[in-house]
Amino acid sequence: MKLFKYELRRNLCNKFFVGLLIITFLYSYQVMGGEIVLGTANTAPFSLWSFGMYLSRMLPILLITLLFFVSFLYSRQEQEVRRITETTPMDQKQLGLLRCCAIMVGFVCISVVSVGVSLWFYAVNFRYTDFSHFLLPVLLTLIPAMLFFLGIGVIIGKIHPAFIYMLMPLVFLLGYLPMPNALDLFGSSFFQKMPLSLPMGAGGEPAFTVPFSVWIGKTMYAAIGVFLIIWGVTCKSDKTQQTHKVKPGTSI
Amino acid sequence: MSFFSYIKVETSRIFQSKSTWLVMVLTLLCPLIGYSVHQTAVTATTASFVLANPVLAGGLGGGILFALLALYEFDRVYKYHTDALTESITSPLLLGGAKLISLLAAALVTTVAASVLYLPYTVYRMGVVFNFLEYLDCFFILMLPSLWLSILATTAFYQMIRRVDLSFVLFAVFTFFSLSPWAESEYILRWINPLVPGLSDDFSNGIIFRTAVYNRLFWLSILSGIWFLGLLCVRNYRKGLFGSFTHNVRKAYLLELSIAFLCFGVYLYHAEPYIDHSPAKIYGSGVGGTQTIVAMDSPYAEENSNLTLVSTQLETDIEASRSRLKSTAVYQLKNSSGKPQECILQINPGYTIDHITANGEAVSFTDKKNDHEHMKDIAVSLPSEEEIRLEVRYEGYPKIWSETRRHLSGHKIEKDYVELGGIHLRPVINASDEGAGVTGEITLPSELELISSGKTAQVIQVNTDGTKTWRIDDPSGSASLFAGNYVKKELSGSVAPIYFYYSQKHENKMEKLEIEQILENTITYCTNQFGPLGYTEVEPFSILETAGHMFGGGSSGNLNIMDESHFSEDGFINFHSGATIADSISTEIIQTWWLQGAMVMDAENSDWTNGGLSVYAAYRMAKEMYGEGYAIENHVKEWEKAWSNMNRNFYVRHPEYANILPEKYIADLQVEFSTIRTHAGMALKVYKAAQLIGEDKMDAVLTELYQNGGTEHPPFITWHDFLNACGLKEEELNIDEAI
Repeated sequence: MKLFKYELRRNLCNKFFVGLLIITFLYSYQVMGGEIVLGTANTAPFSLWSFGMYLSRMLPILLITLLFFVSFLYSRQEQEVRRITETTPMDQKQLGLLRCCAIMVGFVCISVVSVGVSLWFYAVNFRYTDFSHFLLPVLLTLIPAMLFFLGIGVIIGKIHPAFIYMLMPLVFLLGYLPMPNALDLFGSSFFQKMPLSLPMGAGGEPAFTVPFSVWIGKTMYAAIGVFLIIWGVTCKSDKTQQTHKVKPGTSI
Repeated sequence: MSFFSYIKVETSRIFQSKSTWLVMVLTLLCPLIGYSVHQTAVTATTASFVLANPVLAGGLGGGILFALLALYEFDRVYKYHTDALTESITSPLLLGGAKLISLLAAALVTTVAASVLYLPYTVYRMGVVFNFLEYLDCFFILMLPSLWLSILATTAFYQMIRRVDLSFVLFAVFTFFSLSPWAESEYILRWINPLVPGLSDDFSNGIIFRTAVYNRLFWLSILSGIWFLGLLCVRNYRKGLFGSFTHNVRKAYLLELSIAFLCFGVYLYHAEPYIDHSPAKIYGSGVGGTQTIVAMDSPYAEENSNLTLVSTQLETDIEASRSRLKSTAVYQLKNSSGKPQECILQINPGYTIDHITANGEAVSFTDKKNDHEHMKDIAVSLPSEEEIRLEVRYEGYPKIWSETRRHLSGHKIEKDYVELGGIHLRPVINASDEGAGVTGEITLPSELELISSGKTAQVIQVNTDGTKTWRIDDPSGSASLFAGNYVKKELSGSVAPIYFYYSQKHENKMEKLEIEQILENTITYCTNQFGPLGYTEVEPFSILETAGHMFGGGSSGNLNIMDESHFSEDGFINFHSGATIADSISTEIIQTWWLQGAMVMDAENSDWTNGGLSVYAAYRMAKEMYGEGYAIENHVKEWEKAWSNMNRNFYVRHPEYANILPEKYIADLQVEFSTIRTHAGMALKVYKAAQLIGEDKMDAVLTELYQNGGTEHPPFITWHDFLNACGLKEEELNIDEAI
């Protein structure tokens, strides 16, 4: 628990996080005031569709924060102190998982800021405060993307830490690629097109329904993410054990 | 080793590095993205699609890639702990400079390669409109400096904080700033994605490149200042930031250079020459109900009733190659008060007044420099004499209105294109001017053809310096000028001659798209159906192709203006008025009939304008020419789509939310809705009326309204005039039930 606290503090109390927090805050306001305020696919700006669209627009920047957290795992200082951490009687797999959990909590923290901005915007401009249904788009949009990119980040960071930085612009691009609903990880085309194909409900708003294929797609992304995380963490300990074995030999 | 030897060594090293080659190849691929994804330039011209978008994508992508490369290269010696070795041989400051220059060279080589690589495809796609100089401008003004500025910024950050990750975050923030809406409208702030609202195919894009060069100069000097400051922070003798700085600052010239660059940058920002300083205003308001109210204070100075303007005479020398003009305006005034008077001259803020005389004597004047609504006021003291000959000498160039700075659109003087009129051509005086016309002698490069509102412009003199002097005469007093490499064609179908002017470069496309045929068909239809326009051979009606920077169309006296995107395959299609280029052009022409032939207006129903009638008439014409199926599919269905889409919008369904929301968020949406109401909505109502009374009867109703005018004075045709002529009640034309 103590270790988890240290890891979390390492993630959250640094210049990057503060910088990214400011960017996230400004970007959130910009997306809200520029695009979402008009309403997605003719729905209300505070409908679940528009809110989901907002989250999918925010995802690139949130995922870039996540990738920065992942890059800390492979930073130069980290590589240098690895030899010391490896000599502690701690299970390396557990430590890896613990770190991933700390990263996820960091991601949740920055997401809370972004979601907070939107709720504040709704409350101030539309006097709308009924946020009870908003959890579904949050879970549907943020969690699978978080797990998937955490998994990818952990794996490619092991191949070369610089790849994590190269992944960042790709994350931005991914938000603009048209994709079928089931494969649409960010959900931007899903939130934009789906309401147009649905019948109008009360007050001219189509009800928020998620087709089965989208659920399957999201679950697949999440599952792949979890698999990659576990694989990355386990694989790491194998490699470190090998280096352990070699090291005494070379020093002799 | 001298500094130049270091540069040589560093440059050859950098070109042997695999990572450099990777970055160069990836940068070369970036423009490919611009062909499809990165749609920065929006005006629908071929140059926008195959030149502007790819080059801008190349600048953005290449900028980010070169920033990564620069960080990697600068961090190498510290990463592999070879700094102790290199610093024992050479000064880290010298090495920093050499590395920077080698990186800049790599960026230059990449841009040259890109310009060679994309040349064949661009030439192939653009055909006759391809302009090699503008092609080079695109790569070396828009793309290359983006890469250079990225390198300068990241290396400056790295030298200061010496951490790769943190420098990258700073660079990301800096890039984000350039891409964000805070910099969106400010051409001077957008360092990685220069402002290119669109490239014209047929006319010069001078203003785009002039603003881009200014932007590049500003950022190069600011970032060079920061870079030299960063150089002073380069760590020396294992000292920290402040220790190294105090050591490095002994080289006083570095600090001086840094301050000089920064000061120059600040000066450039303050002396920004292309945009005026008119305060911002939001036009349009509340969608509450069905009306959009446009609030705007009158920008014009109050009329001085003691002064009467008899005539205005211009002597203007347009120096197209310098994008400036020198001019003298002579006003014949009558002062009925017998006392000295003060009058106000209003002119585009880009001009400066050199000299003003009244009856040959210099008079005092004050340039108030109070930019507002694209003009400034100049107060002039006039003598008490009854007859006054006021002579005003001025020079300069028209500045862009701050409201339209996002599109860099406005009146302009380019080396192959001139567009001037009103306060952008000459000072307008606040005297009562009933019936006072404008005459003038305009000198232009001889290859340009001048088209002016009023009487047809005539060449009166061919000068020895490669210019021609034209005589213009506009009895209405509006005086709009256009000049370019125009082809002039006379269109048939009307009683008085109608001329069509278009760019020579567009000749093939005009023939391919059969634009002349479309125009002639429309003119014939309107003349037969409604009656002729009231123009004569002396003051003929002219249709004019203008540069794409002006957006859309309009009319100025007897000139009907359409921008070049109307005449291109990738062209501008206004979905409110039909689905094809032909429909869109026809609607524009028909609008002239309902704007100048007859006036359509209703104080109680702001949706009732010439728009709806013209859109309906375009449908009728299409039905006669191509059959009912085509007309319904391409016209009526399009209006219905626009109308029902608008009605599905949240703010139309719930106007109460539009009322509580701050205006700025949905101002654009309201303007769009207003156009849909006046065009598609009204056309649907007229269409429904035609279904009720029969289309032939509707044709007769429109003809009668056109020829006899309305009941309100001056002869405005009101909504009720229309309903009465049809014999229908407003309730019968409810279109929401029909859809």
